[in-house]
Amino acid sequence: MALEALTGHIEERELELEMRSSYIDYAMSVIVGRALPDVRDGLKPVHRRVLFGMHDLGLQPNRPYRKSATIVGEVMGKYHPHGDASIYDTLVRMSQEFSLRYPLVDGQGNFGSIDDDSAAAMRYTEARLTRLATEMLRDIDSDTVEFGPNYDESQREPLVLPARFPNLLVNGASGIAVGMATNIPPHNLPEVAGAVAAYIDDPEINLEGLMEHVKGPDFPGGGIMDPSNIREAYATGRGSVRVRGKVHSEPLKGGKDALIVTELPYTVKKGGDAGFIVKIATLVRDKKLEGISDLRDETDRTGMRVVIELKRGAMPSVVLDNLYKKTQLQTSFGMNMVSLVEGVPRTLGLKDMIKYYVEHQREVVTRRTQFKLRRAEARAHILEGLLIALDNLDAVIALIRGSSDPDIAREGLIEQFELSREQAQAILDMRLQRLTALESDKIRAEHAELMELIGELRAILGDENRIYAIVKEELLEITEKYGDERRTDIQPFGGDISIEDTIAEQQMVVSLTNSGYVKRISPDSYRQQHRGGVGVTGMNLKEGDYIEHLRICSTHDYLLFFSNFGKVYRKKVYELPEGARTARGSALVNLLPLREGERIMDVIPTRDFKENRYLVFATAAGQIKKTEFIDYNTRIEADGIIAIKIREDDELVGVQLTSGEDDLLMVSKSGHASRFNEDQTRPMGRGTSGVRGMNVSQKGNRVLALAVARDDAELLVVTENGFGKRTDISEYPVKNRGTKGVLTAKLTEAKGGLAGALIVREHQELLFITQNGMVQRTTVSGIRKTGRATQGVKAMNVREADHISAVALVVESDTSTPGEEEMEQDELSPTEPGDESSAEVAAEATSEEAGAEAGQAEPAGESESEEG
Amino acid sequence: MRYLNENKEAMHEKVVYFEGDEEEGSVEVAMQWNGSYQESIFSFANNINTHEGGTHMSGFRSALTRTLNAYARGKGILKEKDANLAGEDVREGLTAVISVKLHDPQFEGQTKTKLGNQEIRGLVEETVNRKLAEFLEENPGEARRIITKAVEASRARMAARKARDLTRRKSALENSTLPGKLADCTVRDPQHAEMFVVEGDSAGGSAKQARDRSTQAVLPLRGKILNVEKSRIDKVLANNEIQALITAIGTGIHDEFNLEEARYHKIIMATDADVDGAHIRTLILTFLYRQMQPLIDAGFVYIAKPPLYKVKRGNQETYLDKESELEELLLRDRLEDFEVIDSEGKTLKLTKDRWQRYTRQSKEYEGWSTALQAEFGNDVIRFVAESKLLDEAVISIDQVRKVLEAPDTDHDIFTTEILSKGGEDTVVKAVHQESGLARNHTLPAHLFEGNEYRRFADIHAQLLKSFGRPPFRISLKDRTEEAHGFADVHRAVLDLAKHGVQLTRFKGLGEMNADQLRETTMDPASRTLQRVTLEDATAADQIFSMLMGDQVSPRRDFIETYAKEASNIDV
Repeated sequence: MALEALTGHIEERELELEMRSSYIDYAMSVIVGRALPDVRDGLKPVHRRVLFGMHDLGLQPNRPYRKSATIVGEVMGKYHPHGDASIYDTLVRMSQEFSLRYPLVDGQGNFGSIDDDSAAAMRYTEARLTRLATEMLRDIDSDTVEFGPNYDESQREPLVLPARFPNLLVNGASGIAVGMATNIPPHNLPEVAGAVAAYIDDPEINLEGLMEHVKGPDFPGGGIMDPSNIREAYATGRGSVRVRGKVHSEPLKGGKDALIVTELPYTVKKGGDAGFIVKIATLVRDKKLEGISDLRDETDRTGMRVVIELKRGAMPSVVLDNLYKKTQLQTSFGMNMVSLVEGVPRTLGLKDMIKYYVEHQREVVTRRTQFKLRRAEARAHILEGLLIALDNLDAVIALIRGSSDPDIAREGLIEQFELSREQAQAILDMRLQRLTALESDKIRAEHAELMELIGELRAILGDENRIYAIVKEELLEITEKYGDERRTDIQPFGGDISIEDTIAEQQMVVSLTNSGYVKRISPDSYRQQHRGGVGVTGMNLKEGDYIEHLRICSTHDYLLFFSNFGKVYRKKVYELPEGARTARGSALVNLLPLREGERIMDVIPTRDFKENRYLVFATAAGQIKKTEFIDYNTRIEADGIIAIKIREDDELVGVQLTSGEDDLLMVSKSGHASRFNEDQTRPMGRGTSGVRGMNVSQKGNRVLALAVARDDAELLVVTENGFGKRTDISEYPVKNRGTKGVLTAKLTEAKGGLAGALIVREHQELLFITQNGMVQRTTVSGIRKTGRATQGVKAMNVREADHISAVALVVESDTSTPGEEEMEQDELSPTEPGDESSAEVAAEATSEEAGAEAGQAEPAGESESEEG
Repeated sequence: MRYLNENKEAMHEKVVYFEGDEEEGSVEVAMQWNGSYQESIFSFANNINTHEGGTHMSGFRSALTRTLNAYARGKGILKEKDANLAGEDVREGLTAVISVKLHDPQFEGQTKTKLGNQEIRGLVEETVNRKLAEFLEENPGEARRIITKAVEASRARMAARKARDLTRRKSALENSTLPGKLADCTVRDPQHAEMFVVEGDSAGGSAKQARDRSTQAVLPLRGKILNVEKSRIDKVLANNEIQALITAIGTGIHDEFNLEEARYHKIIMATDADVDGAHIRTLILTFLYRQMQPLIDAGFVYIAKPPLYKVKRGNQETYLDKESELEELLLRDRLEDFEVIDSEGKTLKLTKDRWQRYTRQSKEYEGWSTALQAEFGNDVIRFVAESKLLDEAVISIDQVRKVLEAPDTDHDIFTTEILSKGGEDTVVKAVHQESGLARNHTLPAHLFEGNEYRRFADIHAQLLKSFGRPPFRISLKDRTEEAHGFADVHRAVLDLAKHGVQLTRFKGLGEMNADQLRETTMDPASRTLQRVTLEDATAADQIFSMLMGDQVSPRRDFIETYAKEASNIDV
């Protein structure tokens, strides 16, 4: 008991219930009474109160400005019991040209800027309504809208404004409530009015019909908008629209270009800490945006002008594309058209928003008409009373004079002349001058007018269509007065610039090492080298590794990688990692989805698959297959496609491009070489396995290499134990395919089987590579040139447990003669099957040549390193 | 190596093996990561097991860490802002054997099993750097797995460190001084002490003046406090308002919560009576529930009930907590003074019974009306209600048509003309006789065939019977109000009742004078408190994560379902 007294009255309150109840109150209040606009007038409560408050204070456009503090205080005290800051912020925003498409407040003083400057304090600024804002409030005094009590029941405030123009669509709205939000873009007034009129004429009109009027949103700052998604947004109420600022390029003095930004997307700030300009500067500083040399804001009273100066040689379209991607120059406006319909938040499409607006207008006009009618009828009624009095003047006067007091007089009048109380009173109140002829005529005239008006008003009320016609007419009048041109252009954005457009086309040298490291290097890196070229020297290769393939091609070329499994993969040259001269490159396995045990046997660059007619494949088991090169011009899947169907235990050994008339040369381990014309094998499909090219059925034998025979070159072969020889190709007779071939070397036990075969020319240099990684460099000329079926001489000392695994050509600098840019490089790979490929490799030699050949396609200015 | 990792789950197939040979000596390394968290690295010099490690070991370690970090960064697995992988991260789960051969080994250490040759360090480092990098480059799949494991180890290590920091911070809070804003009470015994948590300094001022200094403390909280459901614990603890709350209450939070340390046995939430106050209340409850649940269990958490209205009639002042109490007060004893005249001239007086019946019936009427309006549109339902249709209790479209086609009389509110009656819909042109307003209405057949309509018609009939036919003229003494529909009667009656009564609606505690506040909210003798109880912990947990968590859709659904129940939607 005593405790009770101490603690007072205690009730129990379940936590869950308290949370739900308090939260729902808060959430609903924010949704319905704070953050979301009403579909009818497009206003949130705070906006409505500010406008109504200003109306209350008489701040019409033709009256003087009033201090903002007065407005804020009035609104706060009478209607909006919350912080003054939010009320003032609302007032400020409604006056900003860049925030509202059609501003509702006319501000005097500093009301903020697009550079994120705040407005001056409310004690400095002054404001009044704009002309258009008065249309929002028009007829509010004619009982057109419902009023309700204010927060402390001391005032009445309107629950919605008459809104004689469709403010929700025209000025848009954005707000974050609880569990939902809204984002409605602004639109062009004449367009929306057109759509409203079209709807009134035909309520069954479909979205397409409406969109003939409303092309899309229209932002105060202008800009450009992409039309995709607009329709969907108007149909469902949700959709994302891409918007860009307006940019054009101007040439500046000194040969440089500049991008000039004259319009920014909606809500993007130009200056200030989080603004557009600072953002660009930060990106340039962090090297995330390249090509910009200077950034200036040259905006003045004639308009926005942000100058982005480009570095010499930077491509404007590329920089622009980056600006769109990385800055607010391109943003997307996420339309989410939620508004309150009878106090319930709903996501509406364009047609529904127009529908509810039109219903509201019908209500407003109807109520106004009814109000006018009531007033007219009331007045007419009075006049009728007066007229009766005038018609019976003497009797009336007599009665009045005969009455002892006004009340009695009134009663008497009522009774005698069957008048109403109001009429009788009006008679008593009548000034004597009304009895003059002029005055009484006036009364009659006024009455007649009123009767006409009443008739007209009744007719309007009696026909729904007339109400709608008035709505339409009055809206079009407003549009005439305040409508303006569309500011935001609607244009499709087109594809984004593709990667390839951003990569300069230039010559590249691609190298692929034996153990699968690949890189590309720009030819001007060669220019530095005199000696050494792209040989083994100078490159940071793994032990025992060497360059197996070298190709000169363009960044935009495709590279076809043929693997021993018979598959081909395709990459653009620019997709390979670029490296310095000494760089090792990147392991191919990082770029291509190679399987276990899969190696790349050859690389062929191509632009358009037209470099030559056919691709010829040779396998270790002796198969030969020819397919049209163009057949490989298909979109290669991520996993590569089949270049040739290889049998289980077989491997691809060589790939060559042929013209259709070439002789093919296949060399086998047993020391035989088979030369036949390629017309011996007819072209087949990609996925076929070919026909017998060479008979290597002897145990342990296999095809080592495939080459295109050129009579002006020599075939060099070397055995496992280091014996080598070379012979003119012309000495090899052309036979049929499928044979065992003729001897190209006389092999013995001691010499071992063939380890490598190369097509060589006199001046070249060779590398002999052994299993254990020994490398010997020697000249071709140092190898004895002998007949076909000879034994060969010791070319390299091979150690006991070691044997030659490969022979490769050295592509060196100063040994090549000027003018000779083409060399055939055929190499072989070691114990794993070799391939023979002939591709054109332009060797850089002296600087001049390098300059002439490789330097052509070099871009001026910086090249940007691409990460593959 | 495989043997060593035999019993563990290997992370990658290939054992990393390489060797290097220089002047200083030669080195052989074999490594394989497995799924465990141990590191087992064995080192040998000239085939002697160097248990204590040495230069070859340290060379290996630093090269390993450096190479893995370089690879991870180069491939973009570690972004710029990410921290480097530490040595221990990289070696987690690693089994390795390092063997060096050199000419002149120097063994140091206790048991002479630590290699001291400086030059070996460089050799090992270089070899490992180079060869390991090659392996990683050539085996991207394996490399990824190794790096991933190291990254996870790194993350776990950092998380553990953060947790330790947090514990340190929590205990720091316990020992810190009381917040300056707390206006404490003088009594030491928590059993008699209570703390009022109020919203903002304006309320704080009133509360401080109104309280009983000896037993009542006041803690003002600035603005909306942090939503702890959506923030990580470190952010929560760093928040000023939360810190003030924790220190003032004194019990610590979470695992370190100690009820014995509570400085008050009543923590009373006294936020403003508006919706923002309600929101702040939910935020405080979220914090208390998530971090100080035992406090709620012990029944120490209360909600104050400041008044919503002050009603002054004549000299009599009364404070009210709820909207409904207002009605009660205004009408008490005065019902009989009301006179209601319906459109047919019938007069009646309001009695308590009648009023209660009216209230109940009118609510039901409104309910059906709203439901029907939602489905068929406001205009149509309004027309149906105001016209004869509802009276005649029609239940089929044919009956409807009959009624509408019947000749119109002067008494009818509307003159009706059927424009079309094919199939489902009947279109009628209704002209309001008095105002001349004409509207076209489309009446669907199934409107009249539905159950809702029947109930609507029923209740309409009941109201007609007990009350009369609208519109009504209601007078109280010498004032009159018009009520054009049944629902409007309620408003008219209250409007009349409010006349002559001074009504103040309190928005915040700051609006009240100190003595008003004391009397209504703080003085134990006259106040009402609500003790917060926790019945169903699971349900409570769900409520908090739904309302205060970061998933929006469940919250939206909740709002849509319960929207009707919102009672206090003031603006």
